[in-house]
Amino acid sequence: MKRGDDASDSRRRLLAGLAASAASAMVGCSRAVAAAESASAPTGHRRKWGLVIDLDRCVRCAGCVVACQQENNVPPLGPEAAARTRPIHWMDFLPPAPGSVLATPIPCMHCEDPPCVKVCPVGATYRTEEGITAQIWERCIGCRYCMVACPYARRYFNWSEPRWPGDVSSLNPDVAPRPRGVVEKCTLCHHRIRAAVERARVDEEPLTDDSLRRLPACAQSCPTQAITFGDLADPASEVARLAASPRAMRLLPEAGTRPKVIYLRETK
Amino acid sequence: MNRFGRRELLSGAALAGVGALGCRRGRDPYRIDKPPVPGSREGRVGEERWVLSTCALCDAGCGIKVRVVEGRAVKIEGNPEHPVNRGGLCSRGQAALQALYHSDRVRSPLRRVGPRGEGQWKPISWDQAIGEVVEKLNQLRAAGHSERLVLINGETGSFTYDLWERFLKAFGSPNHIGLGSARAAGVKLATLYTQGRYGLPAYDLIRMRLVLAMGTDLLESSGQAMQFWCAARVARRRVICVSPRRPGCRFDEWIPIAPGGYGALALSLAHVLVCDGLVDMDFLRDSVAGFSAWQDQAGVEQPGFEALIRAAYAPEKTQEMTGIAAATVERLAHALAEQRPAVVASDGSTTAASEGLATGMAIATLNALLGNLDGGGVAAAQEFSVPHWEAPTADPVAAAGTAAPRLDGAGTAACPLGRSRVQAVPAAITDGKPYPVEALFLHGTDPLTALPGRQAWRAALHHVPFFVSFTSWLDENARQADLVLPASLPLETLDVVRCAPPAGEWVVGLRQPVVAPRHDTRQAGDVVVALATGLGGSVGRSLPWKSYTDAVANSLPAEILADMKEKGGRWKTDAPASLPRKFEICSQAIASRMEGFPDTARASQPWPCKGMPAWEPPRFSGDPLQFPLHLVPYRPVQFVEDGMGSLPWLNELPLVSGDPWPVRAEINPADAARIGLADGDRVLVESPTGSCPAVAQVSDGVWVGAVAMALGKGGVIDLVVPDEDRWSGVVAWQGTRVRVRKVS
Repeated sequence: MKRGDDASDSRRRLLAGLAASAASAMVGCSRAVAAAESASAPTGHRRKWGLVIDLDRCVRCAGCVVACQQENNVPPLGPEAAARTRPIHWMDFLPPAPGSVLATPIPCMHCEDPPCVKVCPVGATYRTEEGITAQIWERCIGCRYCMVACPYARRYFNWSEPRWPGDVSSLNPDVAPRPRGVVEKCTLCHHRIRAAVERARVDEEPLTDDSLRRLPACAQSCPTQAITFGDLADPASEVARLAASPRAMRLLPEAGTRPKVIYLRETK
Repeated sequence: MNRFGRRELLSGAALAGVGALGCRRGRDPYRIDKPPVPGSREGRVGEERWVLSTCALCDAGCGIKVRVVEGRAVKIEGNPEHPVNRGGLCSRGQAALQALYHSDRVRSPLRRVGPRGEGQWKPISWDQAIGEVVEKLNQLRAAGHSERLVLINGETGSFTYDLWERFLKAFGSPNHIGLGSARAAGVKLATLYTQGRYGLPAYDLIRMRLVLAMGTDLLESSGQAMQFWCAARVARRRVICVSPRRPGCRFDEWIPIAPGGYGALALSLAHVLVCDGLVDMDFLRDSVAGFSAWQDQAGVEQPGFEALIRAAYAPEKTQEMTGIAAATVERLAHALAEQRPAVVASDGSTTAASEGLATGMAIATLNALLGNLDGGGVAAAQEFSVPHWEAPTADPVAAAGTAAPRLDGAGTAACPLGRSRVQAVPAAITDGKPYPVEALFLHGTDPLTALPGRQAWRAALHHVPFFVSFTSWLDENARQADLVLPASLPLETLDVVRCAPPAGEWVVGLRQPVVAPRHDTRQAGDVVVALATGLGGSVGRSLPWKSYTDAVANSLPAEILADMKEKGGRWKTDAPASLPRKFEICSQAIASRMEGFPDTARASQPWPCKGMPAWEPPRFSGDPLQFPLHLVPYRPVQFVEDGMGSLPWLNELPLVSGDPWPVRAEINPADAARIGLADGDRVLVESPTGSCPAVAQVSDGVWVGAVAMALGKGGVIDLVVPDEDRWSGVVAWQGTRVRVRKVS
C-alpha cells in the first residue's frame, strides 16, 4: 500500500486544484439539496431523519446487508481482504455480545453530535441540515481520522480499487462508486430521500410518513419490517412514536453522540 | 497501477465503469466520456422500469421486482403485493443479480476437445450442439434403448420441469431423476404414506400460537423460512427450535438435542400427549387409522400405536437417545397441548437420517394427535394444475423404454418406499446395472458439490459415453462433460413456477425475462423443444411448439398469462386448506406397497411394525473411537445451490464473527477444551470419506459431541458419508461421525 512519490505529488497538486473547483461545486450541491429538502417540509419544522431498528422483529436474515450493498454499489472485496478485516458493509452485523446469541444490525448512527465530523481536516464529512452524517467522497483525503473518531466503527476505508465480479452492468446509476483511498459510509440512502422529496415536490403532494417508512434500501428489504425510517422531529411519525417506546435504546449513550439510529430492545 | 494518481481515480469515480480505467491511459484525463456500459444497448438512454418476476434462489418462490435501467438490472426488491413475501426479500434473492452478471458464466455452447476433465473447450453454435445431441438420441432410439438416457434434474416446481418430464415420456426413458431424496423427500414421503398426498406440508403459521420447529434449516434457509420469520416476528408467534445447533436466525427458545434424536423426541412427546390425555380424541376416533388396537386382513390382532407408544417411549427411556431431560419433554408436550393451535414443523434436515421416513412419520403423527390436520394448521402443499397440454404420444420404442426399471432402483426391493434415489445413480452407471447408461443429461445441479460421494460421481461421469451438462457455470461436473449447454438464468427467462405459500393460499409465480440473455444462452425449455423438434416423429408431435414461450402460452389461457405478467403471478388467498380428513398412523399405503415385494426382501429387514412409525436409533458411519464427534451439516441463511454458492455478497455476509469467507467448524467449548482448540484455530475435520480444512468457532450453540458445518461451501460435502434410509432412499446427511484436529 506504500505510495510512490509520484502519487503523493499528484495528490498534493490535485488537492490544491480541488480546493477551488470541487469545494465550490460541493457547496453548491449541498445548498441545492438543502433547498430541495426544506422546500417541502410539511409543517415548517426542520426534518431530522432517523432509523428505528426493532431487535425483537429482526430475524438476522441479513437481507438488509445485501440490499445496501446493491443499492449503494458497495464492492465485495473477496477472501483476502476479508482475512484482513477490510470488507465494507455500510449495514453491518455486530457479533453477539457476551451472554447474547444474536448479532445486531448496525448502520451509521447518524449522530446528532458526530465525532467523525469534528476531526475531518478537509471538511469531507459533514452533518446535513436534516441530520444525515454525509461524506463527500471527492473531498476525502483518506487520513482515516474519522474512522478512529467514530465510536461505532461505522466508517470504511477503500484499501483497493473497487472491483465487481463480472462487469459493472449491475451498478446503481444513482450512486457513484468510491475510488481507492477514501473513506465511505452509510448515507441513509440519501439519493432515495432526495428522489422522494423531489417527486413529492413535482407532484405537489405532501411527503407522508407512510411513504417514507420503507425508503432506505435496508428498510425496504426487511421481511419483518424491523427497520423503520422517518422524521424524528415530526411527533406524528412512526419513528418518533417508536423512539418514545420504553424499549428504545441507543448504542453507547455515554459517548454523548446522540445517535439517530434507535434500537428497540428484544422482549422476552 | 502504482502510478495511479488520485486525479485519475476521481475522474473515474464519475463514471459507472470504474473497472475500465486501464484503457484511459494516454488521453486527456479531464475529458469525461461515458464508456459503453455492457448491456446498455438494449435500453434507451435514461430509460428505467420495474419488472415483476419470481425469485429462483430457493423453493419459496417469493415475488420480486427488478429495477432495470437502460436495459441493465440494477436492483432486486420484494414484490409488496406477493402473498409469499409481501415486499421483503432475503439476502439470497437479492444476490441473484450477482449471478446474472457473473464473469464465470458459460457464454456459448461448448464442445470438449481434450480428454475429460482437462477443461479444453471449443465454442460451437446452438444448431451444431443440438444437432449432436439429437444424433446421439436418435441412435439410442434406433437401437431400441431409449431407457439408457438419464436426466438428473436439479430443478423442481416449474413448467420447465414438466416439459422435461413430458420429453422423457415421449422419448421413452423412465429416468427423470430429481434431487428429492437428498432434500426434503423424508417429509414428503411421510405425508404421502400417512395422508396420501406427496408434498411438503404447508403450515398456517400466522394462526398458530406455538410452533415447534425441528431442525434449523426451517428457520434459516428452507422455502418456508420467510413464513417463519413473518409469523414469529410480525404476528409474534412463539417459535421453539429443537436442533443440535442453535439457529442463526431469531427464535424464542432453543432446545438442544442429540444428533439423530428427532424421531425419539417426537415419539416421547406423543407418549406424554397420550398418557396425559392431551390428544384430540374426536379427530383420532373419526379420522385416524391405527391409533387403537385393530385387526388386520388376516384377522390378527395388531397392538396399535397407543399401546406401542405407552410401552416404549416414556421420556425417561428416550432421554439417552435425545439428550433432552424428561421434564423438558413433559413441559414441551403440555405446551403443545395447552397453547393450541400449536404445530410441529419439520424439514429435510430432520429426516435426513438412516431412519428418515420413520422420523418423518413420527412427526406427522404428532400433528395428528394434536388435531392439527383438521383445519388446525397443517395442510398439504398446494396442488398444481399441470399445464393444459394434451397427453404425450408414445410410440412402441417409448412405451418399451418407459416400462424399463428405473436406473436408481426407486420403487424396487432396493428402495421399496422411495420415489427417487439420486445417490444410487453413480453406482448404477459404473456397474452398468440394470442397463448401461449411454447418455446422461445434467440440468440445474452439480452432483459433485451438491451430493455426498464425490469420488463415485466423478468415476460415474467419467464412465458415461455421452454426457451433456445444462449449466450456467463451468462447475466441477461440467468439466467432465462432452457438451456444455449454457442455460439462461432465471432473470433472463420466462417460466411458470409453483410457490410455497402458507396453508390456505394458492400461489403460482411467473418468471419474466428481466433483461435479454447476456450471453449466447438458452432457456432449458427452449433446448428441450428444439431437441424434440430435431428428433421428430412421435417425440416431435408430443412437443409441437416453436419455443418454450410458445409452450407456456399454449398451456395457459391468454388472459390469465397477461394478468400474471402484470402482477408477477397469480394467487388466491382464500383457497381452502384441503387435506383429506384421514390419517393413517399404520399406513395401509406402506403395507400394500410392501406386498408387492418378494418375502425375502421383506423378511431380511422387515419394515418395523408394518407401517407404524416405530423408530430405531439411526446409524452413524464411522467408528466412534476413531471419529468421536457427530457431523451436523446445515444450510445457513446464505445457502444457495447450483454453483451459486460462491456469490461474493453471500460469502461476505457479516453474520458470524470474524472472517466471512472461510469454512467454519462450530464446536462446543467442552469439546474444544478436550481437543485443545481455541476460537479461530485452523483445524482439519476428518470423516471416514474425506477431510475438510476449516476455522474452529467455539460456541455453546452446538451440542456437546457435535461439529456443525454449513453446507454450500468448500469441502464440507466430502465429509458426509453417502448413506441412506434403507426404506425410503432418503440421504442420511446427519449420519456421519468425524474427528477434529488442530493444524498449524
